Amino acid sequence: MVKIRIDDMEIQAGEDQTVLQVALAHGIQIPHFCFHPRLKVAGNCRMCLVEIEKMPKLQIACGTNVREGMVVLTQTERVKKARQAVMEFLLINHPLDCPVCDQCGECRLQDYSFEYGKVECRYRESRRTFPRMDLGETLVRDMNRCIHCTRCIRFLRDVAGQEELGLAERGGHTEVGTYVEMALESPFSLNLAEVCPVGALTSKLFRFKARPWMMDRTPTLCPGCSRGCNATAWAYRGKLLRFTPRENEAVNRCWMCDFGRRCLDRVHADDRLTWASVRGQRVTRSQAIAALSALLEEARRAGTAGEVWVIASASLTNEELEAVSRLAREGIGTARVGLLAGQPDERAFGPLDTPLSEWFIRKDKFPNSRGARDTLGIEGQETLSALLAARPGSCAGLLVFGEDLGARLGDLAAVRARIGSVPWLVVADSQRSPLSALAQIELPLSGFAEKSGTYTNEAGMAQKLAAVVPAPGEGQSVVSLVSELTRAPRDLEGKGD
Amino acid sequence: MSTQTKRREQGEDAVRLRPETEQRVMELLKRYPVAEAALIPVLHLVQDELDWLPVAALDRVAELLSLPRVRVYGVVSFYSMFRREKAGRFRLEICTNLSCSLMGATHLSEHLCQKLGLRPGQTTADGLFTVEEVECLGACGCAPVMLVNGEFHENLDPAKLDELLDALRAEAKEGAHHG
Amino acid sequence: MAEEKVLSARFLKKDSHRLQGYVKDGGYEGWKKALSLTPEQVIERVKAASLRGRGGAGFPAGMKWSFVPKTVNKPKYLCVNADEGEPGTFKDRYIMELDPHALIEGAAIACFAIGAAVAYIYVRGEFKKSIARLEQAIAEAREAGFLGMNILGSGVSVEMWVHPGAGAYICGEETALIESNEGHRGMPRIKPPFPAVVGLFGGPTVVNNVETLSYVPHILNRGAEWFNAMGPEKNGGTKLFGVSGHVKRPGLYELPMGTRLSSILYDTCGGIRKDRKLKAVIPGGSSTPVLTADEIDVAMDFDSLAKIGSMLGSGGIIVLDETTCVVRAAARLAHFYAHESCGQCTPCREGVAWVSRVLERIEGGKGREEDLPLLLSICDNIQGHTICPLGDACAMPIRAFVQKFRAEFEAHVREACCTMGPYVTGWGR
Repeated sequence: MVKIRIDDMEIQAGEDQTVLQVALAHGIQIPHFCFHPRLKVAGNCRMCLVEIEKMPKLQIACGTNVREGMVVLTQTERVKKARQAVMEFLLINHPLDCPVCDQCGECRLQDYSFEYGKVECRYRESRRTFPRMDLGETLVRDMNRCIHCTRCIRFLRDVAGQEELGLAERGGHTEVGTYVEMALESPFSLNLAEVCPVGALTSKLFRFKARPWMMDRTPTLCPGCSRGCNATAWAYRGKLLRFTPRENEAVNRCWMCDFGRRCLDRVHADDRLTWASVRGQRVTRSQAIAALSALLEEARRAGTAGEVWVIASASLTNEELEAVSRLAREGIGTARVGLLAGQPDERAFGPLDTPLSEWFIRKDKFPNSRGARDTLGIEGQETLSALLAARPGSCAGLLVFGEDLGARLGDLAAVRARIGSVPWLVVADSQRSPLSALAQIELPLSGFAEKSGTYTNEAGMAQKLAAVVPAPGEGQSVVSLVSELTRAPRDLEGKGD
Repeated sequence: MSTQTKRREQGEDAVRLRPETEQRVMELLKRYPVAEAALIPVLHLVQDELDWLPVAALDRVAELLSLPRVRVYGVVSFYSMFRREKAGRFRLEICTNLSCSLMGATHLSEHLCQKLGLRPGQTTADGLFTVEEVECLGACGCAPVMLVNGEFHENLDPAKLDELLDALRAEAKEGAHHG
Repeated sequence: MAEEKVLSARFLKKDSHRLQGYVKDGGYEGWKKALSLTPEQVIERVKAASLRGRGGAGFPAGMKWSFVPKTVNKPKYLCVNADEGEPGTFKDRYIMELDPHALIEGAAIACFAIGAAVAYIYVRGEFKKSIARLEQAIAEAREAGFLGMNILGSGVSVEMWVHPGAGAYICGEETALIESNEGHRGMPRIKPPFPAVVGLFGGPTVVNNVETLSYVPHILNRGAEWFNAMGPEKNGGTKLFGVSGHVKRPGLYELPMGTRLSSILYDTCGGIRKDRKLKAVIPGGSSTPVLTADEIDVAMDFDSLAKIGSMLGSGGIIVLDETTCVVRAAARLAHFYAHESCGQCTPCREGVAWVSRVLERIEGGKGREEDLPLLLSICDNIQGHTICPLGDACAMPIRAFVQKFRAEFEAHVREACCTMGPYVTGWGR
């Protein structure tokens, strides 16, 4: 440890730390663009220049190691002038795009202009321009806005492990781009929208949808795989517009993959199951639940309750699975419980110093496989066809609780064949699917963004899922569904026609 | 918004280098502890053979040195000597930096461009001459200086320049006879 | 004092670039002597000679060598800076074309002193003849046993390779040179770490200019005191001065360090061409602040020029006579720096281009009164804030031009055209 002073503050700092790292750790604001705590130091923006006693020139805080007795001054006239100078330089070519730029409200250039810049602009020459470039499915490059911090290049090359962006040309003509107009292939490309401190790289998925200050932010989880990335869901007027990573060193550092971000497509998709049906006819939820209740009562009377299969999916929360388990055991009286879940990845889980491309995205595409196995005490199968094939034998009725079961069917023909011999099928799901089309009773469920609960990720961490938007139509969580079911009338009146 | 992103497949307009060139590449690689360090000399070799560097050539170089293509492109586009467009038979690169300008290089360049009927950066219609204005060539004591296909021509003036152009045109004609 | 030629002594000899003539003239004796000493002794000798870097910075070579840590597990390298891109500079080319073995010998001794087994001579790509002659000379030296493994039975191994640049002035900066030598874009690195600790391929590296290294065999042969005595204190030896522009006899001249600039212009070079009046002279390459005609009574050495606010730099003297428009000269230089900026850091990428655009506008007759204080302000904002000295190399000369020739700039702005006359005769006629 070494003792240093930054302005008025005496600090004990680690020997291998830079001035910037120490300052940020102690809440001292030193403005910076190119520095990112998880990327290699570049030192090119020059915004973090500070005065250090006994050194004649200003030094970049991000590139200067602390030394015993160092005195750093961040508020002197020289430093203020240097910051003004850098801000002025950055703005001479930067287009006044704020009204049409998605970064507005989350933009460092805006924030620093306000705090450190000058009001007047002395630049009277023409600005250098570049063509806008489509970088593929996920990103747009607005090169005019770029401040050449190279964070994007460093992220893809050093963190993601996929060197797809690079610098081309020289001097003021320097461009950040792919090789001759190629699309980005990296499944981590959307992190660039956050990594880029300005609006030079923006997400196509979110383009022009809303301003950040208009949206409500809810900390939640990504349901895309068993990593359980911590995420923030951004919603505006009941619509989920954006999914961004939330920091958690042990789980996802501060990254998410593109597939995870696209999970929000499911929330407002056209194929949401929003109303209940009985034998293809639309009914109210309570009518459908009553119909299900009647089916179960019939089985009880016929003494075949023990041959009813209840199938749950590892897309459900631990609380929902708990409810399903109780329903099966106590409510129905069957031990035949099946689970749709994924297998643990053989690759190591933890954030290692290896590129994201080698370990980040887990093979198990269920968010709660481990939680499901722990709660239900059984192993699972990845697809419904595999599950049905593994349990031959008599079946008095099939009750499936899922979320997005359409993605988990496996061999659809095999599923159809097996279902054919089953007296009844009841499907509770958030999306419509070929399976729900075969069901006698369809019940709408909340999706991952519409219920709260916990998922247990592959490493065994139980994490909180939050309800962000209301479920569409009559959707409800499985907990609520089971609760209604146990209170529903058991006689034949509620069966409907 | 246009979606002109395309995937560049290996093999599209693939370039074939002479075996001697590939051999020399292998020899160059021995000079360095990492293959990447040979990139610039290798690019020179390839450019000397092909006379310019089409994108397909860059793909081949990336393959030979096991480098991401975006890195090769970044290097090629950084350095002024690498040509990403075909030039005329004779590349006339005239220095217009301070010392040469003090000795009349800008007038010389105007004279040259007028004679050939083009502006700096362009090639004559018959594909013979490309004119570029370049930065200091390190021969300031003999200003004005011009490179002709990389060869130094110093102490120039309009008369010498005219003579040189005639000589080059004659050379080109001769080449056509023997070609 | 008789003007002894050290580096240029062999330039006019027939086949001066071949090994046979070089050895006959005493070549590689310095190398043999070095091998009989310890590396530390060699470094001390070069320190004592006050040999300062001839590439532009003037940093003492012996001191630079001594920064290389002795106990480090990574291979060490010598990079010879033969990028010669500074406008007005044309000295290293002569050494490489006419006396390449001098460079090879100097580089070999340097390798020995710092413990490097490999040296790369980074030659600017346009110098095809230099590259060819160096390759040939290295092959000759290898064959004669002066390079390679276990040289002359000493147990020391030194291998040398020529590495071409490809047209980027910035690669003359030592960390950009190292980056380029590694096959990257020539973008300077932030320091620390310094190349002596972490350089080429991550190992300790020394980057030395061609001219600097070429003196080393002479220092070994004739002694540090001899070298020191040739110039003023702490500025030992001779210097290759390249004079270009409006003198009667432009060319390369080897003269003792500390020779007066006025003497170089009027004695050595015969005075201003067409007997015109001198207007301005750039003393050491375009990155050095310009001197007015009143300032030429100065000794051409590092310290004397620093005292008057300029620099010896590379010793590339550019002479501007009374018919020259300094506004145009300044604009042309700014254009050069904007073209050569690597683009990495904000003040240089944006600021240098801004300076260039403003000067272009002024030169074209569209200048405004506020442009002159604006230029000075931009130069202040660039200087000292960049990753490498290229920003300063633009800011300092432009500031000097504007400050020292303020009246001419103001007139150019006011009259909206060049005030040297309707026909700018300074440019060559």
